[in-house]
Amino acid sequence: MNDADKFIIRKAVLELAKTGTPRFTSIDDDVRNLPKVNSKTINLWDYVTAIGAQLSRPPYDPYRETISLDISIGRKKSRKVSLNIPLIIYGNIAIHPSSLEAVHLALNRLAEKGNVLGLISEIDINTTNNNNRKYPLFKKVSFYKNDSLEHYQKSCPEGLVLEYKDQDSLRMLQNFRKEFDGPILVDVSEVFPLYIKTILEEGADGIIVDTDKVTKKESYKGKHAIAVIYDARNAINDYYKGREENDNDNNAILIIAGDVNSAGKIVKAAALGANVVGYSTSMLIAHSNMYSEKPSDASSIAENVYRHMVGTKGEIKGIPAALGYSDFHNLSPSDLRTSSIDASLQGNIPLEGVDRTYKEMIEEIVNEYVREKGIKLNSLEIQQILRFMVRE
Amino acid sequence: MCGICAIIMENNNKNFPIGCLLFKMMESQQIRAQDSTGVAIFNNGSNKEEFYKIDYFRKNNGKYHQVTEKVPQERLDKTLYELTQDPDIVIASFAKEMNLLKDIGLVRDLDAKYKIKSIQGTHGIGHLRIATSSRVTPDHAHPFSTIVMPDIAVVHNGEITNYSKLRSSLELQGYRLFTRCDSEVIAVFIADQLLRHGDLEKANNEFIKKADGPFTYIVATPDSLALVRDRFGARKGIFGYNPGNRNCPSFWAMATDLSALDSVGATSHVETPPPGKPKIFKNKIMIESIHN
Repeated sequence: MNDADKFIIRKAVLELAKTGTPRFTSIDDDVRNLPKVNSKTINLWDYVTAIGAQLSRPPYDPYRETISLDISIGRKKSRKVSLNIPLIIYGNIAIHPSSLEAVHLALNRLAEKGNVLGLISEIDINTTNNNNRKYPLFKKVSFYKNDSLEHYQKSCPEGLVLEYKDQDSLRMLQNFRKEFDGPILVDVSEVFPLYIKTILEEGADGIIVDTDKVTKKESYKGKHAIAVIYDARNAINDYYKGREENDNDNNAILIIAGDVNSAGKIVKAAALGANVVGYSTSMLIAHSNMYSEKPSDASSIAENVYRHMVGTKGEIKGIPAALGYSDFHNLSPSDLRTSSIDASLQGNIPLEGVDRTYKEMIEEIVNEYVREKGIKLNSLEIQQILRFMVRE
Repeated sequence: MCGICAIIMENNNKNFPIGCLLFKMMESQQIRAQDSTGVAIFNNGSNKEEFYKIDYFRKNNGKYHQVTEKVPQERLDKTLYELTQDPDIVIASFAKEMNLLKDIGLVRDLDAKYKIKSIQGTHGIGHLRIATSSRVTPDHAHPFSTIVMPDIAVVHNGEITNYSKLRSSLELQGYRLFTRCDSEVIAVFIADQLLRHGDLEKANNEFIKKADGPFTYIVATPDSLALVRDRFGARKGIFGYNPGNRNCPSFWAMATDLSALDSVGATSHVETPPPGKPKIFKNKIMIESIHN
C-alpha cells in the first residue's frame, strides 16, 4: 500500500470513528467541484463514473463501427424475444390509456426504423393500430384477478410479467410456464432479495427489480439503487454457479426499473449487472401531456417520445464505445470507479485512484494488523471484524 | 505494443532447435516491448515417463520462487487441488509435452537463464510484453497456460476489453484463474471449448464472438497453432513460409511485425489472416492445404 492509499484510508477511518458513518465524499471533491452533500440527500449515482478507453484500449467510433445494443430475452427452452435497444418501457406509474396510445405509436415508429424495444403493460392498448404492433409486448398479469392464461393471450403478447407476492405466485408461474412458450419475467420487488433462486428454478426468463420499491423496504433502508442492482446480479449469479447450462446467450436476464431514468444511469446500471432497463421516462413524457393547457394528439406526443428514445439510444451507444466496447452488454463493474466510500460498499465498486474497493482496502489493513501483532484469528473471525469495520 | 511470434515445423520435424528461431523473431521485435518475455515449446512424444509437469510461482514477501513438480497421473487431482488452495501460489504451466518458460526482462535474459535457443520441438510460441493493464511480475509474463487441460498456451497482443465479464462467466463455471491478466482468460476459454467439442477452429470462433476489444493472439495445442485477430482487425498479425534448405527444414512462422518473418527467412506466402477468421496450422496435411 502506498502513501496515497494510506492517506485516504486513514482519513476515512478517522471520519468513520468520529461520526459513526462511512464517508460519502472523497478528497478530490473540491477539485471536481461537486456540490457539498449530506448523507440524506446524496445521490450515489453522481459519485460513480466510468473509466474511459486508454492507450491499449482504443475507443470505438459509433458512427463507423457497429456498436451492438441487441439482446434476446428467453432461456433455451422458451421462445426468444429480441430487442435492438436494451430498454423496456415500464414504470411504477399509473398509465393512462391515451398516454399508452402515444407510446404505442412511438414504439411502432422506432421498430420500423430497426429500433425495437419492449413494452410492459397491464392495460390493453386503446388504439385502432393495435393489430399492427411491431414491437414486443409483455403483458402484466394481474395477480389478484386470477385469470387464466387465455385471458392474457387475447392481446397476443410476446411475453408475460408476473408480480411475485407469495406461494400462490409461484403456482401461477408453474402453471403459466407449462403452457406459455414465450419469455416470462417475474417482478420480485416486493419480496427482494428472497426467492430468486426458486423463481429461476421454475423457469422464469428474467427477474425484474424496481429499485424505488426495494429501497423503501426496511431491509434496504438507507441504501441506494446501486446496492439493489449489485445484490440482484449476485443472486442470479449464485443460481448459475457451477451449472452446466451457464451461457450468457441463454441465461435469465436482470431487468432493473425505478431509479434508472437517464442514459448515464442506464450505462452504470448495465455495468453493475442489469441486462435490460425498465425505462419509465418515455411514459412520463407521454403522461405529462395530459396536464398541459393544450393537450396534443397522440401522434404529436408520439413524435416527442420517438425523438427522446432516438437520442437515448445514441447516448447509450456512445458511452460503451468511449470505454472501448463494441457491445453494450460487455460493460462490467470493473468499468466503474467511485469517489464515495458508501457507493464502494454498496455496489462493491473500486475507489478512484486506488482501483480497489473500500472493503478490500480495509481487509488488507485488518490482515496486516493481525499479522504484525501475531494475533491468532481464523478467517471467520477476520470476516466478522471486517463486517463490523464496514458497518455491514 | 506487445510482440508475439510462433513457429511450426513442416512434416512434424521435432529434431530442429526451434528455440533459436523463436529467439531470432523475438529479438527482432524486442523494440516493441521490454517488460517480460516467455516461450512455450512443444516436443511431441518427448515425455516417455507419462508424468505431468506443473510449474508454479510461490509468492513470498513480493518475491517469486519458481517451482517445478513432476506428478504422475494418480496424484494429479490431489496435487492440483492442494496447489489451488494456496493463495500464494500462481500456477504458470500445466503440461505433458510443453516446455513453458517465462520471466521478467529481455529475451536475451531469458536465454541466459534457460538456454531457450537450444530447445528442440515441433512448434512453439513466444511473447514480448509491455504491461498495460496488470503488473510486471514473472507470473504475469506470457505465455499463459491453464489447469483446465494440459498443453495449452497462449500469447496475446492487445486487450480483451470485456475481460472482466468473460472471467466472471468462467469463474461461475468453476474455473480457477490465477492472475489479473486478460490473456489468461483466452487460455481458459479455449480449453473449456476444447473440452466441450475438441475443435480448435470452433473454439476460436466462439472466442471471437464473445470477446471485445483489439487483439491478436496465438494459441498452441499439442498438435497445432492458431493465429487469431479480432473481428475489426484492430491489431496486426502475419504469417509466412520458409521452404527450408540443407541446414534448416521448412516451417511456417507467425508474428506481429514483418521484421520477425524476415529474421527467419519466412518470406514466402506472406499473408495476414482476415479479421475474425482464425488461421489454423496443424500438421503436414493442413499445411499442404494452405499451399493449395
